[in-house]
Amino acid sequence: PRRRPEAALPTIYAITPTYSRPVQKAELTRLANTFRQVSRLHWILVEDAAARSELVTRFVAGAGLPCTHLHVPTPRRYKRPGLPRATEQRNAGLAWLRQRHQHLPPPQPGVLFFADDDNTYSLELFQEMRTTRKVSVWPVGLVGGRRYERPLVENGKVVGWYTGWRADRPFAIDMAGFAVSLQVILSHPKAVFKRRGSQPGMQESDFLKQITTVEELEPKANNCTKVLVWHTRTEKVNLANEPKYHLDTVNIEV
Amino acid sequence: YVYSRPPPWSDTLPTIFVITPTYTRPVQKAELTRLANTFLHVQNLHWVVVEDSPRRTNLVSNVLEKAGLNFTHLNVETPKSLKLGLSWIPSHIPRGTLQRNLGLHWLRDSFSNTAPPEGVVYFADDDNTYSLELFEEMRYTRRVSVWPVAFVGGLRYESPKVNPAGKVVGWKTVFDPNRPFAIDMAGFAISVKLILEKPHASFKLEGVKGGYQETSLLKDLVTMDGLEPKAANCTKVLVWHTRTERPTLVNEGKRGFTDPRVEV
Repeated sequence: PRRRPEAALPTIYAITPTYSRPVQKAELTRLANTFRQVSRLHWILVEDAAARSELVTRFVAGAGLPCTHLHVPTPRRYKRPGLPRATEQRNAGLAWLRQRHQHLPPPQPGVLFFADDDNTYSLELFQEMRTTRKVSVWPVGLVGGRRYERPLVENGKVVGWYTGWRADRPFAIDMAGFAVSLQVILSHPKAVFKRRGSQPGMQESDFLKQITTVEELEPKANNCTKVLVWHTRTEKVNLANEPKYHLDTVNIEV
Repeated sequence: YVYSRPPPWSDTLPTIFVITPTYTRPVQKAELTRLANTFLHVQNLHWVVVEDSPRRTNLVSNVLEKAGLNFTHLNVETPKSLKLGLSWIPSHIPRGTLQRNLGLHWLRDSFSNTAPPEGVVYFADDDNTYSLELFEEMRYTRRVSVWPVAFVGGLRYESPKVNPAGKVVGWKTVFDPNRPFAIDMAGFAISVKLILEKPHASFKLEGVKGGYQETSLLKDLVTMDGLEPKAANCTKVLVWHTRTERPTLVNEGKRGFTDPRVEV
C-alpha cells in the first residue's frame, strides 16, 4: 500500500494580551520559557498601549520563538472595574490572523488559543489542543472559586458544565479552557469579542456562540478529567521602599 | 506524554544543583510545572526538590517523573512545635529552612570532598521567575557569586554594590543594608566545592532575625570581598521574586465541592 505523506504539524497560535506593570517582564519571561518548549508555536503578543513599548520590543527581539508584536490601547471608557479586559487586544490578534491569511490559498492548518500572561500552561496541553478540528475544550484549574472547572462529557460529547459560576451560560468556560482551529476563525470573519451588549463574565460564551455549538465541541484532556492549565494570578509587588524620584546612577529594566 | 528532553548531559559542563523547597497548597502543581518548563532548557541541571511533608507526595513524584529532568526528590517536615523537655514550644523555623538544609546534606552525602564535582548550588523557591540567562551566569562560580533580584525589600530590585574594580563593597537596599549579606535567597549561588569544604555551613534554624537567613549561611562560607558579581557587574535583573496569589476557593465550601481525585 502507498504511504500517505505526513500531514504538516498544525501551528499553534497563542494570542496573549499584555499590559505594563512591574511584573510584566517576569510574566512574559516565564511564559516564553514554556512556549519555547513547544514546536511550531507562534506567539501573538498584543500590548494594551498606544505604541509599542521599549520593554516588550526588546523582549520580543530576544524571545527565542516566532513572535508577532501588536498593540492597541483599551479606550478609557472601558477601563472600569467589572468590565471585561483585553477585549481589544484579543480582537487585534484575531484581526492579524485574518489579515495574514486572506490571500493565502488553503491556509496552513492552525489552532489558536488565548493565553493570558499570568496563567500556567503544562506542555501536555499543547499536544492536546494541536488536534483541534473546530473548537476543543478542557478543564481549567483554580478558577471560578474552585480547584477547577470543567466541561461535563458523556460519550465523547460535552453535555454540560461543571462550574462555580453561572452554569446556565451557553458556554460556561474560562478563556483558558478552549482552542479554535484557524479554519473556523477564517470562516467566521465577524466573530469577535464584544463590548456592546455584553454582560460581565459572558465574554467567552458570547464569542463561542458565534462560531460553534456545544454539540460540536471536542473534549480534550482525557474527556475533560485532567487539569493541564491553571488560572494562576501573580501578587502585586510591594514597592513601598522605592524613592519618589529616580535616585540610582543607572537605569535598570525590571 | 513525552516531555521535551532537556539538552543532553555534558561531561565537561559544570552542573547546576537547584534546591527547591516546596509545600502542598492549591498552586503547587502549577508552580512546579512552570519551573520545570524553564529548567528543561538548562543544560546539566539537577533539580533537588525537597517537600515540606512527612512523606513524598504522589503529586510531586509524578511532576518530577513526567518532566524528564535530572532530579532528586527529598522530604522533611517542618515541625509546628518543638519538644523542650516535657513541654512544647512553638517552632519559629522559617519556611524552607529545613528543606534547604536537607538539600545541602544530600549534596554532602552524595559527593566526596576529595573529588568534588564541578558545579554550583542555587536555592530556587518555587514561585520565583528565572530567566535562562541567569543559569549561565552562575554556572562558573568559583566560590560565591551574586546578582540583583527584583521585587524584594520593597524595591523594584535589590542589588549588590559593585565598585569600578569589580568588587562587591556593599548592598543597594533600603531594608537593613548593613546586614553582612543584604541579599535575597534568589540572589546568590555557591560552588559545590565550597559547600563540601565547609560541611558545617548551613542555614540557622532558630533565632534568625527577619532578613538574616541568607547571612546565617553565607557568613560561614565567604566574606564580602570574596564575592563574584555577575549579571554585568550587577546591572541586569535576571531573576524576579514573584509571588502567586492564593486562589479564592470560596465555592468549594466546607466539605469541598470538586472531585478530590482530579489533581490540580
